[in-house]
Amino acid sequence: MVEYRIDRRSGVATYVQIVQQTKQALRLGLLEPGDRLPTAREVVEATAINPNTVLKAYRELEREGLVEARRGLGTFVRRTLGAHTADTPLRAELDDWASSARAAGLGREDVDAFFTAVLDEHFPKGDQ
Amino acid sequence: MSSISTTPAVALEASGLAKRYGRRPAALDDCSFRLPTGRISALVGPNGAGKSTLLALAAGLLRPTSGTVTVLGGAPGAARDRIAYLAQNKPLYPQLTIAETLRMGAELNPARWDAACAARVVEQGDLDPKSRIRGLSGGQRTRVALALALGKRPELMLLDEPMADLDPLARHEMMGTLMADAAEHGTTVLMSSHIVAELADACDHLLLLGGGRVRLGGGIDDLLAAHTLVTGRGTPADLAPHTVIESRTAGRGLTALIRRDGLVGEGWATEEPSLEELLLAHLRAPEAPALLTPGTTATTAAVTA
Amino acid sequence: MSATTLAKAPAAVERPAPRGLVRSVLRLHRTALWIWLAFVAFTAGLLLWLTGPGADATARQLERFGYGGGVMEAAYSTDTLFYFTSGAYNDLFYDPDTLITLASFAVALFAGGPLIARELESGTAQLAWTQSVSPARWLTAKLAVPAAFVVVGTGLLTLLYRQLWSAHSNLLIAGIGPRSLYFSLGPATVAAPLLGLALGTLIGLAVRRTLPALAFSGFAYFLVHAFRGNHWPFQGRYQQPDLSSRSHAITSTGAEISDPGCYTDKACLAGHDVVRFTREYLPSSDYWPRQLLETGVLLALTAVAVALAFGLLRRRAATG
Repeated sequence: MVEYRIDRRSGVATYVQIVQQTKQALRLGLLEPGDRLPTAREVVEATAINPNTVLKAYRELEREGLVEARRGLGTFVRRTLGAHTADTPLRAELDDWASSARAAGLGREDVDAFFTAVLDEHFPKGDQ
Repeated sequence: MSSISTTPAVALEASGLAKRYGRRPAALDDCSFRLPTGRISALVGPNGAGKSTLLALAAGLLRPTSGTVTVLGGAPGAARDRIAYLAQNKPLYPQLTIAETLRMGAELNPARWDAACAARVVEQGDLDPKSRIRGLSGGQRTRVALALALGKRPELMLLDEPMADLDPLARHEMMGTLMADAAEHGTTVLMSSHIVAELADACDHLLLLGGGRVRLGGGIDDLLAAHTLVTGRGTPADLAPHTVIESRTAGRGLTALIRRDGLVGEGWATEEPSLEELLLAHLRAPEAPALLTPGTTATTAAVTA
Repeated sequence: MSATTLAKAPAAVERPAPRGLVRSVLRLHRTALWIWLAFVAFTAGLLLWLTGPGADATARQLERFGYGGGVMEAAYSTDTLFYFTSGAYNDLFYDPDTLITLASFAVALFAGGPLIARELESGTAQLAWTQSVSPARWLTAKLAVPAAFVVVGTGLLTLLYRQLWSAHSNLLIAGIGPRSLYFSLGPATVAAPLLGLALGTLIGLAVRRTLPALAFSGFAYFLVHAFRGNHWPFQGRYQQPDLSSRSHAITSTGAEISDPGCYTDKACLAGHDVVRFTREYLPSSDYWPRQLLETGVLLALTAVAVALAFGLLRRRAATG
């Protein structure tokens, strides 16, 4: 079960926050196929946001094929997202790259800027 | 925008509604709008804009000077058992205990009362049902008043500054309770408030009152989408086809909130305003023309069955 | 509004059972209710005492020494527990009347203040009107419940009082007192607090603030009281009629003679061969016409006040 945290000052639309946090939970393995998402009632009771916002986020997740609504039962996870973190080759490559960056004398902020720039290049904004 | 043919059922509709108290300027003047069912609507406006008057008219507590208000398809009085109304000062009988107050709710609403729901709202606040209303703090009274309102299982809730005297935690809890009820039962809520942050998350519909009528009405997303915050070099006249709600010059730059009419020209940086920016701009510019989205426009008297 | 937008006709409005509404009104005003019950119990007790044990000593005095030597003396010598009074049976006889009058004032004040105006002032009336209770039904319950208690309570006290009068009115010292008491005891005693209730309610609805409503209700009931108590400026010489009394001494042969005026002089009484005295107030033939006329006027005014109250309420709120 996930618990959504709504950050009112992030400037990110509330429903987007729910979508992102659900995906994050899928990536981290907190949610697995067959798991039930909290009902709209449970989410709004805890977060005091509009029920339609939750429904909008769930519709978005459904549209992406990540979850499915089963009438009268709730919303269930259909598939997980992305490669699982720890020991994938991609992560190992990134690990290597970070070590070389450090050896080259780059600071954390430099790496951050680097990474964001490359990320923006390959994944343009709006491409969720 | 969705098609007109799927007009949703209307929870509340005002048509040419006016209310005058004695010789003072009218509290409401030719106020027309409709609130579709299932929406959670924020009733916003400067002090004295007529928010409380509108809510009391809808609750059937006042008689309009002219015009009509239709609640859940009938006269306000006829829907008495299906609406809940929370007055600004949260009146409750001070001599009763909390349990007795809820029992009164059961006795006065025998057809609809949900005792478990009312009790749950009270329990959440760690209130002893045996304590008297007289001894409760403002926030605790609000909780009991809300329990009374929710226990009635209303189809339409009319809340006049419901959260005004609650601490942040209680406010969050109560808003959560309210939203949960709306999520479960599809309750329509119309609540007035001054706290925009509180409304921005909870509400999906907006009614901005000013000068006794609705100046902005509609789904919050639609209203935000209809406006654009533009920044650039130029004068308000350069934004000609659009309606400029408010503009400010800073040095060579101009920042304006506009209601778009077509595309914004080259050379302007555009951004969607936040709800707060939208509201503040309209509050600062009382002369701005009214905007009601199609679903919120009242049916005119010319419409015949 | 076009008919097509009405997806479904609103379900038949289920009215709350009157029982629930009545229970709510009782619960809200239980303090006043207990005070009222205590008043009725106390006054009934006083009346019963006056009818039974309280009268005995004075009655024996009357029988032995006659009106002058018995009742007049006893008026100044009876010891009682109650303050209210100089301690004489004659004075105590009027106390229930005083209590009923005070209670009637209290009813008018209660109706104007706590029953109506305080609810309008604090907004709790509006709270009730936004439950499944229309303002008209609310006002009906607010009037009917106290009215029932007033009618039953005052009715009971009036019956006991009439009984006391018929048993022991002969022990009263002649003068204006017995007359005004006699003519005030009857259906009008019950109707007067009802008018107080109606006037208080009307004023409460009109004024909508507790303190002014209390003041105006008090004044309004003062006018009612003045009308009933012959202080009404227009009543002029039509005061309460005389109530003649007849006193006799009875000799050992059973003959009735007039009071020899012996007072407590036993030798004098023996000389006139007086064995006992009797005394009675003669019922007035115009008691019932007057009483019923007064009751009629009071009830008519009550009806007018109630009608005005409902009219006022209807103008205020959308009662639909």
